[in-house]
Amino acid sequence: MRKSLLIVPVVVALALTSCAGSPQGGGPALETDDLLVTTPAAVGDLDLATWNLPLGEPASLDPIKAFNYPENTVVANLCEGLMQLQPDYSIKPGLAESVESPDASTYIYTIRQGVQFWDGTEMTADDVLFSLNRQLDPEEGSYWAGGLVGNIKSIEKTGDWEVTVSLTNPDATFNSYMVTPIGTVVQQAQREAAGEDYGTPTGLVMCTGPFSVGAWNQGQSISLVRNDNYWNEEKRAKTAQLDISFIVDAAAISNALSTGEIDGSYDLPLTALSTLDSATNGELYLGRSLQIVAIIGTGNGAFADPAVRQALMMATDREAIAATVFEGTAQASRSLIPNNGWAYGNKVFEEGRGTLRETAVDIEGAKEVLKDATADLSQPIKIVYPSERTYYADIISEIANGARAIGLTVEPTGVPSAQFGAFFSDPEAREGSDAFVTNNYMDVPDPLAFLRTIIGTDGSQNYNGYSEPDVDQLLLDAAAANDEDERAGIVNELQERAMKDLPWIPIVDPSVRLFMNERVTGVPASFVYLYYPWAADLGAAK
Amino acid sequence: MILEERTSVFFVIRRVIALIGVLIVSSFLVFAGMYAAPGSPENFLVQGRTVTPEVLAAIRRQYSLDDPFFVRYWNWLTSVLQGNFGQSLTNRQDVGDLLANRLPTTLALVAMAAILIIVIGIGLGILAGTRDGIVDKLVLLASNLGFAVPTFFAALILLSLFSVTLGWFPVFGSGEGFLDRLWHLTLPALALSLPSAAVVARITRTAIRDERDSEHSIMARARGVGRSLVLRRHVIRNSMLPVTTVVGVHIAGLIAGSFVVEYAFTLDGIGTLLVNAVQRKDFAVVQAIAIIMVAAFGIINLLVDLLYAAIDPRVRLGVKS
Repeated sequence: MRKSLLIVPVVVALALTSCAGSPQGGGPALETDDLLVTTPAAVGDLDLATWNLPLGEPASLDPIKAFNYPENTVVANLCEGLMQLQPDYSIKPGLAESVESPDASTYIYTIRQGVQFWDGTEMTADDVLFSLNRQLDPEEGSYWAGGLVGNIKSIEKTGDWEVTVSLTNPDATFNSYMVTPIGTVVQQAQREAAGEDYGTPTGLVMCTGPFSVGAWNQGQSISLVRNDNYWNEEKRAKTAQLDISFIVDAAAISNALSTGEIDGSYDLPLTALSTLDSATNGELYLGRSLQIVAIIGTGNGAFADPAVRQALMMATDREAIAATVFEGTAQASRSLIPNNGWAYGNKVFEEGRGTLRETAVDIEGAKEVLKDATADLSQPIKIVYPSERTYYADIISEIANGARAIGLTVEPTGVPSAQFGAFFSDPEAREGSDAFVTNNYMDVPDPLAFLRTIIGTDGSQNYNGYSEPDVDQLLLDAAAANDEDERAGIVNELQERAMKDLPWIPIVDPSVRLFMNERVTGVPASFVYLYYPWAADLGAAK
Repeated sequence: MILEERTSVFFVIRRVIALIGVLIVSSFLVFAGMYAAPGSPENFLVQGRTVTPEVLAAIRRQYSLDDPFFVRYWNWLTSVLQGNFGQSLTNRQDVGDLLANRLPTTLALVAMAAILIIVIGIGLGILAGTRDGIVDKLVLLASNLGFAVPTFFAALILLSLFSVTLGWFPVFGSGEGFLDRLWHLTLPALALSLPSAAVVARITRTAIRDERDSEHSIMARARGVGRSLVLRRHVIRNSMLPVTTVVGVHIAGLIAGSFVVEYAFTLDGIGTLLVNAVQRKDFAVVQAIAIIMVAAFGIINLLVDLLYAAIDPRVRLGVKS
């Protein structure tokens, strides 16, 4: 008697909790053809707004340790670089008034005068020199070291308000990196005074941006307060205080946004999408992005055979993945370069992309390609993913479906998130598997900079030992090409080569997923929120 | 001369020394466990993004991650004895500061849940134990529900109903200021206390019924002593012994169980801090929290024993019952 009485309330409870979640697969139909660059401009100021970082709390505010979503999303509003990335991907002068580049190995920056740090002291060329040199100092341990920074020969103060950077090899992409923390300027005195505490809640930072740090309640929230002495009057923050929370659980994020407790968020979890799309208190925006989801080969097993990779790509229904796993908010990837991931040579890149194979499934074609394979096709191919992120399992299952159709076996293998991180830095961690997933992004809207990391012999994201001397030469040629269209042309060649050799299989290009309460508006919808002071544009919607 | 052994100062001192021994052994085991687990901390710091091997080596140097096991354990032990719990690998913060920031939320949550367990659990138990009929049956049903529904589930239901749908309580966070914090922690404390309150209610009910039917209380009634006096002095007071043990055990377990509720309600307590620290192999933080939990458990058990002595004169006087 008592047991059956129990069933009723439990069933009711189950029904209640399922209302908070969202249906699996087949979400709302969202258009991706017109991805946004900006959201409607704010019409007024706000005293207080709330935001969320779905990927967790920043580990540090030190720009040289800001190398991932949470840190960069916050630091972009606090500290500034010599150049500034704009929502339309163009690059404008920031703390540098202008830059001269007599050749691709020399960059002469004229430092802007009259810029104050939050404490009122003036920014000088010495601060700039100090900040840039931090990248080269092994004691500082900058996460941005290597690659581009490794190519810097010297950084010198060549005038009262002038700093010159000389590179070892010519690199036309260098200036665009000045929008990232590589080019960020911090106050030398405060860095030296704070010592080991720099970037922590006790040491903080001292920068020039439109916001400074208010309270930082570890584990709960961080407050950004408007800098009323910001040097750029036009870009003065419209919100006096922005409280940023660190909720990572998808259901909790969904609840907080749909009840209005939080005003907005980037990087919305996929499972929260259908709830938020039908929310009545705000709007879901999809923006132009520089992100890509791909499968990275480790150089082991059957996956090491390029014919196998090509066949798998052709047999996988990537358009279905974009429509179901990403609920229509992504596009199947035609290239390793995300669609529209460029800020120069637009026509050239569009044409080049048009010559690549289309993304539709082609089982017959895949079987043809597989005939050229030399590896042992009977071994199962293990693709590793972080087990907490179940959408990867869905993606790999779809790949496994395609694989089965052409006679291959693909096994999704989950490992705990904490261990998965090691795949990107420890070759030993990659030993027992054939491939692993990545949700990757271009640091700057320059296809050359991105491709270089994947197909260059010492590329920072080259995890499978891909090394072709002619590719390396093409990369150097592209980096030395001053003319943008010429550079774009060489990069197109590299792109074609990359899609032929396919060291990574590109799956989809996700869009930016942004939600804003109807009370606020103004932030960019495009993927610039890691380096552009997006919070300064946030203001009242009515 | 009757020995007041249980409440003597020596008793307390001996227990404290034993607790310190337990703390050292458990800290060693936790350290060994973390050491043996796969993965290394510096890799988690830069999850999903690639840094140069030099940067990883710099991090290892900074935290002495390459020193041998016993050296690291000894260094940690000696600095703890000097009051320095080390630095968090994840965000370079002083562990003491980190804990001071996060501990109040967990303590408040556990305290509120403890009060709820005592009030709801013992209250309902007494109600069911002293009355028969519909009240008793309702309390039994409620307690069955209480331990059938797991904490996480209860949390989600409460959240969905009272926060999202009705909007009476906040959806996340632990609030600032005394009253705000109470408001934020009401649902979490309720969710945390439910299974324990259910158990306590059952045990109390059973204990009360046993006492009601015991020889001495029947005798007292037969001699004409008033009903409520019998209830207070004979029934309830005597039944408090088993009840105190159960309440004590459950409250001690609340600290460990709090992390489930902290996760569901996105609270900044030490539970979620512990889970993250274990995943990222943040040795110093895990060690510190493990010590706190073991110490809390030991202290609560000690208090329960002292409470025993206060309630039961037989225990105090060392007389066999």
